[in-house]
Amino acid sequence: MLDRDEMLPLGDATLGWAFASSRVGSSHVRTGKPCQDAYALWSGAISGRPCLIASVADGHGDDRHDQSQYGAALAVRAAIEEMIGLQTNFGDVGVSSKLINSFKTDFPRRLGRRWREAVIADARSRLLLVGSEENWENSDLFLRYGTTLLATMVVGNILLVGQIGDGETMLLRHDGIVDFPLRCENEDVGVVTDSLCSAEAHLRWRTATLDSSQGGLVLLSSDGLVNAFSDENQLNTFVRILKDRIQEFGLLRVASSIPGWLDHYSGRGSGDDITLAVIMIQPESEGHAEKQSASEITIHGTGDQS
Amino acid sequence: MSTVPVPDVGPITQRALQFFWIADYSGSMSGKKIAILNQAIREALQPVRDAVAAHPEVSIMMRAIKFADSAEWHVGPDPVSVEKFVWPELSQAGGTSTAQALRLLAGELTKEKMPPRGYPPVCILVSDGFCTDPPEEYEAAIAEIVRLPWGKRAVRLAIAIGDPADYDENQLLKFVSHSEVGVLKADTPQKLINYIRWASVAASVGASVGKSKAGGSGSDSLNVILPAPPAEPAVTSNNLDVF
Repeated sequence: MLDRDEMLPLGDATLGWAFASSRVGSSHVRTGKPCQDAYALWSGAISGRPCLIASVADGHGDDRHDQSQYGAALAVRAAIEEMIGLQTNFGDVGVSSKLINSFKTDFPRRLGRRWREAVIADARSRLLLVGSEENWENSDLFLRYGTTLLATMVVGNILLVGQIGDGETMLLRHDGIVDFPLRCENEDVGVVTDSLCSAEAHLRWRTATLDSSQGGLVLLSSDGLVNAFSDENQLNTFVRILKDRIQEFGLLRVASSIPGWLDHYSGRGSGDDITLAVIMIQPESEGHAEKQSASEITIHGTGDQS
Repeated sequence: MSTVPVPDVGPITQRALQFFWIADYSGSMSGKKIAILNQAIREALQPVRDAVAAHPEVSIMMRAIKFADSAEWHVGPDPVSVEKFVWPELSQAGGTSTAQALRLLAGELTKEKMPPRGYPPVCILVSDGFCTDPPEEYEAAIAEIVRLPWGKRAVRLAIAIGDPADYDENQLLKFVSHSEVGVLKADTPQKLINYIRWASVAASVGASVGKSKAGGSGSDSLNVILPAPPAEPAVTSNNLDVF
């Protein structure tokens, strides 16, 4: 039997494994604020194809976003549901182009709609707010639930990654290179970020489709981790050491240690909530799955272009 | 089960908040104005230190630009931790080259020079007179600051000293990031002391709360939120004194 502080990764032996942790930031502990981050993981098989999904959200901490921890929780759930829907509708072998296209073109809009519906339902049931849907659309309700969102899905040899707002999506490739496939040159500086509650939020998404056939390590993190490091080198070093630690100590022990690591970085660095989701993608075995053209990287929908 | 050691990525440092004083030491600042300015900034340092003590993840790095006939560093260009920052005595001389000072500031707010993961910088401009640089230079300096991502997101406040007839409020207002605050008008020594303390503390705390906010294009109104400036000081025999 596992100890209380041990964490079991989830996943599929042929595809890969995932684990995650969300920790309240040291500055939140001092001020009695809750953790406003959230994550969700999902592993399953749809039409016999194993699939791994992870999402991370960081609710805005400002007082105007007083429901943002719920907004983050609703966002990660919406991401999982939309990804499952994507795979269900377009995930059959041989139709990967439809999956990729739908992810690029429809996913941000559909997810935004699902999140807003969930926010309205939550406001009605938990905050006991009343009024028509039209009224909600023009109110500051969504601002109160504002959150960033990062989401990824691995299926076959395709890796889909999407992100709105800050945080970091990282891929440690099999050759040791750390990629940041969703980096944006025009990223906002300071404490302002794009958000699911932003106007025209679906245009502010950045998405990419990558080839995962060689395996690798995918990390989704809220900005609390990124801001704990003083520069890019430290972040790269962290990613590489994480992989080394997994090889040396095993997935279970590393996964169980992650909460302590995040507390360490928050306490000494950012002070912010930190959430980290990790997916270790198995390299594709010979003869496994069909070859698909999934090496294209497409980034679209930054806020500055909208 | 024993825990796996935390990855050692090198020294984990606090996030930096870059703080700039931009202080006028033109000839018109002579006498009481410059003396009170020196006193007020020195007295504001400890409240700033105290305020950010509640945010140990924040490191305030301070420097100062002074301007008269030209602009130059009073403390800098290398920033100094607020814990070690000392305000050297400023004495008056010459004209009011505000535009040059703002150019110097803009040069420090570039992505290359600002820490990538820092907090929004705080810039406090204190002046008592009309800019003596050509108007187009002033406009260009303001445009340059606002064009820079860090300049746009900076908390920019202006404190005007003395009689409103002696300075151009609209000109100073162009520097200010928070229209709801406007130009802080210090026509008495007590107001100057109050505003310098308020501006330095409120801007430091506001910029360092470490929270993400919904933004995107057209969201300037969603920048760092500041509390209201202090009310007019109560009338006492001391603060009936004017510049």
